[in-house]
Amino acid sequence: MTRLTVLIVGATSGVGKATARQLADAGHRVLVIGRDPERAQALGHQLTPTTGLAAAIDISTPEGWDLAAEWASQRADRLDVLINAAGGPIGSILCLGLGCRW
Amino acid sequence: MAPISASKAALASLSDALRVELAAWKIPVVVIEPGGTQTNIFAKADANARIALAGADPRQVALYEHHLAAVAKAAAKQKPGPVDPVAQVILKAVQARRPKRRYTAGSDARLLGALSHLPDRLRDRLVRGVFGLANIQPRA
Repeated sequence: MTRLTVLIVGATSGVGKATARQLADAGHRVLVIGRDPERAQALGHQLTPTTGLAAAIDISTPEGWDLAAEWASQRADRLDVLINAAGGPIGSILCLGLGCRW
Repeated sequence: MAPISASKAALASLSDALRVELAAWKIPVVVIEPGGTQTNIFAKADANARIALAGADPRQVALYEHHLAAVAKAAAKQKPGPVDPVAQVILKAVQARRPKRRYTAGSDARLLGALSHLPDRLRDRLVRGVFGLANIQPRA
């Protein structure tokens, strides 16, 4: 099987984190980005430069995405896959006419 | 429910358009649709809901009183699935030579996906049932 280089954003918890682990276990190289610096560091400790790298970048802004792209392109000569696992709730599940956002 | 529904519809629609745009580079775009999954999302949503409610106009909150109680009750009964099967589906999509455009993960996701093909009236009734809103009367 081809070894892939995969960039995962939203990878320091939940589905993103589990996906990063499974990809690394399957022999792929994972570049993981999460918003939380402590969790990103903890995840980075579980990886070696061959299996992958982690960084704390907030990709909720266009500048964050630029930073993420720059970080990844400096650490890999190619990217095969982007997995976007970032996102989550901002307001209540019911709209309530409160201007809640997701 | 309106904001999350709109955001998920936007995600599906954005992905469908992006797939067309990126076809020239032979870059596939895949949407993974998990059902309720055991992540921090529910705790975060709960905390955010509390903040939103605390800052809301009490009259608006009162209008929604029965809805909020019913949704909380229905949510407590739902059992979100583990994350690993979802990650497995993503791994499968990543490694596929020709990935499908959409993958569902979890039986509830498959069920809800099937709902969208039902007639509108029936679908609305089933969705209201799932969220405990079937017999909700607004407060007088």
